[in-house]
Amino acid sequence: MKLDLKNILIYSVLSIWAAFTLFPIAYMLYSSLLSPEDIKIGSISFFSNIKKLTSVNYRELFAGSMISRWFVNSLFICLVITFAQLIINGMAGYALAKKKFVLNDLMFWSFVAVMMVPSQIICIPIFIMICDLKLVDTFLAVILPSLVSPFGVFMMRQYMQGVPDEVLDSARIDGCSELGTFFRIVVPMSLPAFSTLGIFVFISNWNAFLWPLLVLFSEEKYTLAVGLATLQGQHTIDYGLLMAGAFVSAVPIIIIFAFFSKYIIKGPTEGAVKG
Amino acid sequence: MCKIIKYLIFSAAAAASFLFGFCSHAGAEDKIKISVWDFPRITLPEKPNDRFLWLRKICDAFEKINPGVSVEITKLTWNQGGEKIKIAVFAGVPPDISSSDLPLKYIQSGLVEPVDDYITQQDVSDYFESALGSFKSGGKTYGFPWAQKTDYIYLNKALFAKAGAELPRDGMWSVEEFRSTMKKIASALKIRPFGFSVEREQTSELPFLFLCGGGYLDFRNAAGGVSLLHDFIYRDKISPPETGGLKTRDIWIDFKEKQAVAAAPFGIWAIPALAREKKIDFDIAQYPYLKDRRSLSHSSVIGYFVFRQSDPVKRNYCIKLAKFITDSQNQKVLKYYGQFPTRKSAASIYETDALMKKAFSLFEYAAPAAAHPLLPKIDEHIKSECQKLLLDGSLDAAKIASKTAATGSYVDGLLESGAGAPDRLKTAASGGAGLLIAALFFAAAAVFLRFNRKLPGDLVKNRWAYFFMAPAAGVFLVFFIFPLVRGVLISFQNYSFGGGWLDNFCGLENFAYAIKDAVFIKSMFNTFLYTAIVVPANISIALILAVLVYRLSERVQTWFKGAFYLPGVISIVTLSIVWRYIFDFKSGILNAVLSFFSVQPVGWLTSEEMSLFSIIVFTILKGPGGALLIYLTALCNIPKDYFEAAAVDGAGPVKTFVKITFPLLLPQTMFLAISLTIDAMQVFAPVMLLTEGGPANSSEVVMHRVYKEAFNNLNMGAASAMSLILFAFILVASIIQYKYFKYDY
Repeated sequence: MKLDLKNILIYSVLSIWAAFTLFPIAYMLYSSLLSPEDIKIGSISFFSNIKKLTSVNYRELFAGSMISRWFVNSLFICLVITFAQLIINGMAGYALAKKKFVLNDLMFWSFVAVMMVPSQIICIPIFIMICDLKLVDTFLAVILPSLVSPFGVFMMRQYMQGVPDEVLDSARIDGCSELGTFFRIVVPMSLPAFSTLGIFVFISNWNAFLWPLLVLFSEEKYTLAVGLATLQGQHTIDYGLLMAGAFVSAVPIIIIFAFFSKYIIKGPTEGAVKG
Repeated sequence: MCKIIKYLIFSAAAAASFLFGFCSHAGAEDKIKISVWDFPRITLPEKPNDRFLWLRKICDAFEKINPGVSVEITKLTWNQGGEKIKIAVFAGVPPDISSSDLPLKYIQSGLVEPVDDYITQQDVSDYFESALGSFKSGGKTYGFPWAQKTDYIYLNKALFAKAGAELPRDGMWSVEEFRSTMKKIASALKIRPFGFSVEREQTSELPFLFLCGGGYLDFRNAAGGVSLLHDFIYRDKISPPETGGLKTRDIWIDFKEKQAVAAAPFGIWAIPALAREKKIDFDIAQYPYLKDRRSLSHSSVIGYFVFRQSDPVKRNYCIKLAKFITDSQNQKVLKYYGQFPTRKSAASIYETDALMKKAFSLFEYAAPAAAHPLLPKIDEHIKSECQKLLLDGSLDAAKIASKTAATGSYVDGLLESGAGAPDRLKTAASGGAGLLIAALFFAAAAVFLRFNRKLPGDLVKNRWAYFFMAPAAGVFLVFFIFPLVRGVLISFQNYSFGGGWLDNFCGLENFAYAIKDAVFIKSMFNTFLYTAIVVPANISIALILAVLVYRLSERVQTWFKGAFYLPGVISIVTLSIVWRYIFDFKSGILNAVLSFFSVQPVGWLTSEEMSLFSIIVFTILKGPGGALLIYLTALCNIPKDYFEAAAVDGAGPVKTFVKITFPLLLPQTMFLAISLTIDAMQVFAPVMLLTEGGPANSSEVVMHRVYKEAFNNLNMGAASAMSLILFAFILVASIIQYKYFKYDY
């Protein structure tokens, strides 16, 4: 890459913005590595005592709480939700984008409308329903209401409208079944959308706090976000511990992001029929 | 075909009933299960991370004495634990036992068991009279008092010594002594030595506020106290100018970490907390008094109470357990909590601890606050008005008096309307609800008629389409549409705990309440302002970054994308903690940068002008990761030939962007505009975590208002009505965007 003025400009704009967005996170990582005596919240003394970095917060976190259990719970719940959402939203998006059935418009617009409904208004009715179904304090109570997201359906439909009809028709002519068309043609052509949606879904559920907190009662069923909240005292916060917890909970997201970003860069629809 | 459908319905019904039977059968067991929901109150020295071990130990002991009983502890959190109880109560599935101060609202609804039969004469003489008295309502006792607490002024001995100021003798001082001591420290150390905050649900400033008369229920007489606090800031200059926007946690950090204030009021929880860390040498003192020695600090009592039980055997065990948790022997654990026992026989636990002993001896001057079911709402209003008064340095005593009187008459109005409300609600016509139900019915009928003729044929013809739709539609119907209908119904109801689908309709009363609420109108305005700035900012930043990043090599691209996306994926709860220190008035990095350019420090989160803006900055810096990904995905799908052709024709980068890139990204831009608007209008978490709507409601937004209305004031109907009004605005905004941009869905 040439180091001309244009590139320098681009790099400096991007780096400044990155510095802005990364500073709080660097500060979090730094404070998670300080011992309770050293941590001086409020006075940002970034490099004054950098020699005394310690892993005491992390050790205390893993020894003193059920964090590994919460981690597994979160991972399980989020993977189930993400997998289910990709299939369910993808199927619905496909039907809405490519099938001309009578209820198409009605269903599509009700998905769009519900996207605008403030979540607080449905929170208590759903909780009542979960109680009636005797699902309180089960993973199902967290998973079921998140199995479909109107945003996901909307997004998949938008993307799949770009899948050319000719490709689908030729698949059918070649004797491909409906399910086969979906899984062999539509899904591979929509991989960027699937991976983007997958990341969105996983992350938003990984960080979900209020709903799991409401429906999970016993400690061994907590998700990571809920479990970390129980470590806080009424008036005091152990910042080092909290920041360590925040980093533990960010690790899988960073890994998944690094893995999926490859899929996002490559546009697999290139080279298909030009529409 | 018809047969197949019938068969399907039959088998679905059979499966459902089987599942239901299975679930209900699995719930039956022979042991009596008692559920206890409690907060992380006490840390035992042997396991510092487990804040429930003390309770588990007590419950284990109870199980041993009563073999037929098993106790399940649900661990609440301090942040949202109260909401969890309230939601469970609203849903009609409260726990058996929980703990708080006197739960008046639940008692009024008949949800709490009176326990008078279980309190013996011996118990009565053992309880401190005021402790037992504070769990009485209407002549009955509704729980067992467990711990008493109050607030004191904490003094940093080192700073006092440095300034040559004397500590108050016996911890008692008059207002004049207090003022002159503080002034002395102020001039000696060049600091504002007295830190305090006025915050919702906190009691530490109340002794000052009500020092010259007045109280929650007669606030019009409290002008003297408000003036006193105002003078501390602007006349005596012993308290910092940003006080009106501070929170207890800020004062705590000022006192403990930064040692920037020499005196500050906290609850007695701070005594063991400060003693444990040994960071500073401190002492406590009572609040300053006026000549007539009115009762000084404000005390409150926490107790364990039992929710209504239908089974008398279980009721017996529940009340016994509540009593067991709070009995004299088990109250000794309060030693690690830093609160006072409610029983005289447990009063000796602090004998060896000089400071707690002193605190306990000063406790005789404490008096309990008034109890009233509307107190949360009154408290919220008074505190926010006081924040406003304290932030305004231009007020004189007369203006403060008139504003206090205005607040007082608002409170009077609340008290009156609260008393008269039930009758009016009963007589209120349920016209709105009737209309709504009729509208729903007609909508359903219209859908049915519209599709009736075509639908059966279509079900067969497009069976694969319906197959693909079925899972999404099913979940959608059960977990979005049903709850939504229920939520809409609630907004027309005077909804109470465990109420049915069609109880207590009150017409449009909730909507009238919402529109008359000045804070709601303000929050509406703030929400629009927030949306109008955040959405365009997010989109343009994401677009610029995407276009710049797109040209880089794949490896560099990944790095930058990671950097931009990371803040968006880290839990907002923890991120906001860091940002609170970046925005900090005294030592935040933002004000440090400003002072480098010799600009006056800005109260980012503590002034009325800046609080909403700071939340916007936070959102923008956290925000555009998702939008960036969507743009990048789209950019990669634009065939390279387009750009090559443009370059061949001699178009520069700006022209290429305007003529080619931007038009090609229009669908994504429209999609983002609409979905980000929907998100921004529902903004909640940043406000909740950074400012809680303050100071003086300057950063209040609709969803946070809804949250407070539902869980602070327990007014579910009004909360639902408010969110419906917001929904209407979101709908209108989306339709306008859709029509204006003529975006092809």
